[in-house]
Amino acid sequence: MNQRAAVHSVQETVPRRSALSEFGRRVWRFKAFYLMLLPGLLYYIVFKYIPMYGIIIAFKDYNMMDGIWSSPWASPWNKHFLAFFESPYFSQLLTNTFLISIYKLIFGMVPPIAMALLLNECRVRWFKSLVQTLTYMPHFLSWVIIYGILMSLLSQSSGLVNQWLEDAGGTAVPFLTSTSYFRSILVGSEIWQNLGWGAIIYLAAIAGIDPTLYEAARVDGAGRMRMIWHVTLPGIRTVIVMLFILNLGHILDAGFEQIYIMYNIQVYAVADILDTWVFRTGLQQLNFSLASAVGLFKAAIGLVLVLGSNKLAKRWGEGIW
Amino acid sequence: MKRMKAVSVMLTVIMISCGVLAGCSSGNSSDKDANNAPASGNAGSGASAASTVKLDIIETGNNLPSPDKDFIKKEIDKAIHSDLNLTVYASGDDYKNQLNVRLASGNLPDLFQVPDRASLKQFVEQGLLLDLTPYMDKLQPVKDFIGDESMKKTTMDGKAYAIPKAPNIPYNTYWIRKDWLDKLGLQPPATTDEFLNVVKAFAEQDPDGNGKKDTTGLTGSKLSTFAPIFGAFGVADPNTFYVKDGKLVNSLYDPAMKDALGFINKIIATGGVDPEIMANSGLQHQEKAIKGQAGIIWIDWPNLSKDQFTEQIKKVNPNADWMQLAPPKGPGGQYDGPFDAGGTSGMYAIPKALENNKEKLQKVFDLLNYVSGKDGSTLVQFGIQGTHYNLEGEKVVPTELMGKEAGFTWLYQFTGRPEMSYLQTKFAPQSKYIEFANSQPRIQILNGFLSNPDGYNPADAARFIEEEFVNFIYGKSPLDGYDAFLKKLESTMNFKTYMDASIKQLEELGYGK
Repeated sequence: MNQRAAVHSVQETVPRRSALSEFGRRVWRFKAFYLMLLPGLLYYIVFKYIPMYGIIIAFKDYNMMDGIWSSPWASPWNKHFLAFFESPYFSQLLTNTFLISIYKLIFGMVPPIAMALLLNECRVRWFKSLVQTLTYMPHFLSWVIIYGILMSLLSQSSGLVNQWLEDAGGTAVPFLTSTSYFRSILVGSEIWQNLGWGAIIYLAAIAGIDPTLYEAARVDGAGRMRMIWHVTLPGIRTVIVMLFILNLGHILDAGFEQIYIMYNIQVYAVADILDTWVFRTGLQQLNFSLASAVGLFKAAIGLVLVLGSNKLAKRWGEGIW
Repeated sequence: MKRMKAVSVMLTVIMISCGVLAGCSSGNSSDKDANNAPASGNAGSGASAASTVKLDIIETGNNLPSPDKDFIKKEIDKAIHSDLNLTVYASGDDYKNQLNVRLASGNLPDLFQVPDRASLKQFVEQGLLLDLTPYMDKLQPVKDFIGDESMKKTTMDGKAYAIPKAPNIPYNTYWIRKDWLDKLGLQPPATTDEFLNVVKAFAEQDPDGNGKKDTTGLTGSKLSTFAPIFGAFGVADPNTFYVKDGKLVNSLYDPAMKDALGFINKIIATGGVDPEIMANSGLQHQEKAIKGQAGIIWIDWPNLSKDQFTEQIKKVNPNADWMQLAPPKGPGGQYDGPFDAGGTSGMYAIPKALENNKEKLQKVFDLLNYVSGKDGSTLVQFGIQGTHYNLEGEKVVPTELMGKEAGFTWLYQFTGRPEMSYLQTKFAPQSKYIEFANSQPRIQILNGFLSNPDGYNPADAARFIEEEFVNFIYGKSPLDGYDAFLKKLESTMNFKTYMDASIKQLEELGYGK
């Protein structure tokens, strides 16, 4: 109280202080906090903002010997963007990227929440931790290994599932080489890999819900389902919306590593995404300018989506900022 | 209950620490290399004044021992007063990425493998490579070793930018299960029609006798599975250039290509071909062959006849008997696929930056000359005389230690080796397979001499061609659409530019005139 009054009086005695010194004084006043902020700030400046100057190679004909700065400017300035937009596969790439991403976003949203709710309701503690450990183990497997597992399950000639199908009198299904199954397998394996890991964050959010709310609900005669519906879910709504918005920003990252390992020429039509194309056309052929033009394009779309969805969420009172 | 929880916690801890350890250990091994290299360098410099020069070299390969066990490194270091620091990457893609990153960051090795001709062109355009033309007189031993003709492969606009390895020989053939043929009472197929019947029979008549229909007739990786079938129609693999009747042709425009595709479609329609040939990457097709799931495979001899693989094959089925199959005869002749006259099993370039470091540059030349000379070449082929081999007159006789210790010496064959005599000595048990593969007729293709013109995106075009070919052979598009496919290739992929540029380049080299 006293302190605030003191500040107030200082302001009154010198009314025309410039905004800058006002800022400086405020920083000085909360110096401990700013000091704590400093490492994080530095991290972002050094590792995220300074490297951004490399973006200019999207507008240059980058040559490795000349370096970023002295490489000649591209003419016209949007040459590499045009090369990308005019690729015969542009619309297909964009469609694939959006579809795979949106499928992963939508279908990948509910299972971890359901998992968290189920784990939360589970009263047998050892079973709960066992299930939790088992479900988040796949998160640590690399895609190469997951693909190996998928191959031995789904391979058309020797996969376990297809052997069962054939033994049961059916015919083998080309899961990994058919355009009709490939996206489902991408989405399915991604969900499987991230089920337990994704549930952790929701579990943490659930743990933060005020227990008195449950007690009150119980007193009012609510059953378990009612409590989940009226207490737990609203309690983690903010987290759900926040994760959704953050994920939207990555909508053009449909999962390079996974797709690069799992796709083959027969499913390119449904599986080739921006990143895999950039890898083949940009990086493998040393065309770094093209690669960064596509990267910039992706980032711009991601930014628009994040801003837009945050605005939308705010209208429902759940925005991040 | 408590205990169960403890167990699950432990499991997690173990899992995480495994990950961490794996991360560390891979980090460590490279640290170790870095630490050991100066150490051995010091030992060397103690003996030979201060003239040791450290040379960083990177390439693809595997099974390189640590520097303290690497007797080849020690011998070379002794001979030319250097301190070699060789790093190898197991997969070609890994290597390419690693190399690109190192080039982009300016952290250049002193000698490095160039993955292919297209990369060579990109590096040259980026101004990364040293033009070796003015230095050729200093590389006389190398020139003598690989032959003048070979230098064409790495020459661009009249300048030599890399050293190609000495010419190699073809390894690939069809391999077929002799025991399956015998079981079904069939003869090794000599014509394309017989070939089709055998593929069908292998899939349908239960050649492994387990009462289940779980075998396929033919496997391989990607379209090359059918290389000898293309050959039987007188065409080489898709998008390859060769001289036919005195004229330069691209296989896509060869009228026989349509017939070849039609016949391959017929083979696939029998249901006898591994449905996953297009998804088989790496050595998945080899695995299928070893496991006894396929009866014919298109593969190189080392991957089916080296001791370690024959052991695996015998473990699965002691009666399994793989034999090589001559290419089936067809309407266009009999060719065991293509063989690239411009191809090399590797080429090595020196970064332009070394121009200003005369001492280091000379050391790289010394190294290349040494492994091309008599002593050095024998060393990197067979190991140390008296330990890994003995000389009986001119003949190299391997000792038991050669098989055990000297398996990695090829990593130091920067200028290659006299292929036939080398293989015959080193792989004596396999020598009949080597000879067989080498003596089959092949279509000589010229793609190794080509570099891509501007405005042509090889990645997009390759994808389009492969996709359409898959559609043709799997019967998803009718062959009547082949001409439309060519038109579309020209109109959307800028293929005409590529064709014109390629023909011009090849004519300049004197082909098709």
